[in-house]
Amino acid sequence: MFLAFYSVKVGKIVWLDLIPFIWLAAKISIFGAVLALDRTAIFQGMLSRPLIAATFAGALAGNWEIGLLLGASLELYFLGEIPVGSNIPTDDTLLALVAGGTAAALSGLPANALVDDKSLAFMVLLTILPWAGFTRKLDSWVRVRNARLIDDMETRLLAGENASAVNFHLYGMLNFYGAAVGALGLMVVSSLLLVPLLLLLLPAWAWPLTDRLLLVFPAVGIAGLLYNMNQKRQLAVFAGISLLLLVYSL
Amino acid sequence: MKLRLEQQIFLRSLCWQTSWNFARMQCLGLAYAIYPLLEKLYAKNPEHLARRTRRYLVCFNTNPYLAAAILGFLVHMESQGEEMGDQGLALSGSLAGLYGAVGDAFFWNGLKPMVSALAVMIFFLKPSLWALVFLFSAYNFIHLGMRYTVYLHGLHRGIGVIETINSWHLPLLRNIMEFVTTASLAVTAFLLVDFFALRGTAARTIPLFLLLALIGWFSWQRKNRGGGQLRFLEVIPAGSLVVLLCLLFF
Repeated sequence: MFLAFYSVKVGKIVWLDLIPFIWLAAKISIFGAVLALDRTAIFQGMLSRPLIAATFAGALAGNWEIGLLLGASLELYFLGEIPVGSNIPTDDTLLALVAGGTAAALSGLPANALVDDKSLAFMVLLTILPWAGFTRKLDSWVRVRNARLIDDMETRLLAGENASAVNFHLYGMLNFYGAAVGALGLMVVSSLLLVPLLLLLLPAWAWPLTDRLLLVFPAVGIAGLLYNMNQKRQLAVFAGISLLLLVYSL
Repeated sequence: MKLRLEQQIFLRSLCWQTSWNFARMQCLGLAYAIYPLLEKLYAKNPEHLARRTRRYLVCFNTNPYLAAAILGFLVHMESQGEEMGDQGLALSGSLAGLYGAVGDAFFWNGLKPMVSALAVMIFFLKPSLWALVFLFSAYNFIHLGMRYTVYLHGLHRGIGVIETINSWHLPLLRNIMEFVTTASLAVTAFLLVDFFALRGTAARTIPLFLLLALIGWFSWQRKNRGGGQLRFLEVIPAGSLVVLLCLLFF
């Protein structure tokens, strides 16, 4: 199976073999979903943060550096969303895994066929961000599905199978894992197909700008975090330190 | 190696949210974690064991880290008899609300943003895996330390765990962490300029960047306010960011 896309640097159509990409999507889905369990199901020890998840996916695809770059950009971008009470924030772990894996896979193409790392990272982010709403819905769906486990546990307890009854709690892990595997597979494949298409559609005058547009993500993340703190003192600290750094740099 | 009962219960509490659901939230996690104690106390009467386990399937939701304090408290109460266990359960609802608010504010609004912002700052200072190492080790050193300490205090002191947590002055610590977060964000904003090599770039690039930063910021704000009008104070952080960028560019 092959896919054609337009190479900016080479200036002609390049053919890509899709089989390695499908294999990569499977690898990221299976191993990445284990990392995604850290988000809610077990431990919650920051293994699921975008910085770590994107680097992990990048390493799986053979380029951890671009994964790290994407992780740092997404880390700040989604930091403002917090899981308070029953609020379900965007699943930034899944998005980071897709971003890191896709970008690393495309960056490894021969003969510098695509654009540089920062431009590629920006393109990948454009293709994965529309999935944010989907990840929230998926998370909600898993949590609705988990409610069935209460009935299962109570039924077993009434039947006198106490030890096996409490283990129904762990079945929730399967729900989270299964949903993550499916979503990751779908998103990685779609992103791998969409990025070359995006490269084709982008006007030529925009090429020199794309590497710097990645700046928007950490910048919006910083703005969102400052907004969350919502204290005038924090703004004063931010402005003061910025001013000091500015004076220092002149 | 055979773990002690208290350690078994704590390890099980690391899966606190494995079956989180909208119906009764963390109820299965609570029942799963405390089950080894119930099994030890009521092993001779399986029907009674099932009844006591079902007693713990109440609607329950709190911060997953400070849940360890409530778990320790419940183990302490249940160990003293059924009546005390029921009293503990009755009290745990109030404790869940209290620690939900305190824990979410401290961990999600304080510790996580601070450690993440510092890790991203380390990345933009010099891209390397040290950012990941810092994020993982710093967060877990603090979070696991606190999680295990409050569990032990709940276990040994019962309701006295409230005094322990109160003596830590978590709201004050959170304020301090917010200052550290803000400072690291200011440094990160500064580092972004060098990282993206924005100094001395073409005149067309800079206005585009500023425009995008503003658009991103306003979109973020509108999203947070449900599409409502922006207030002047909320524009200040974006303004300072843009002013900083302007000063650095021109």
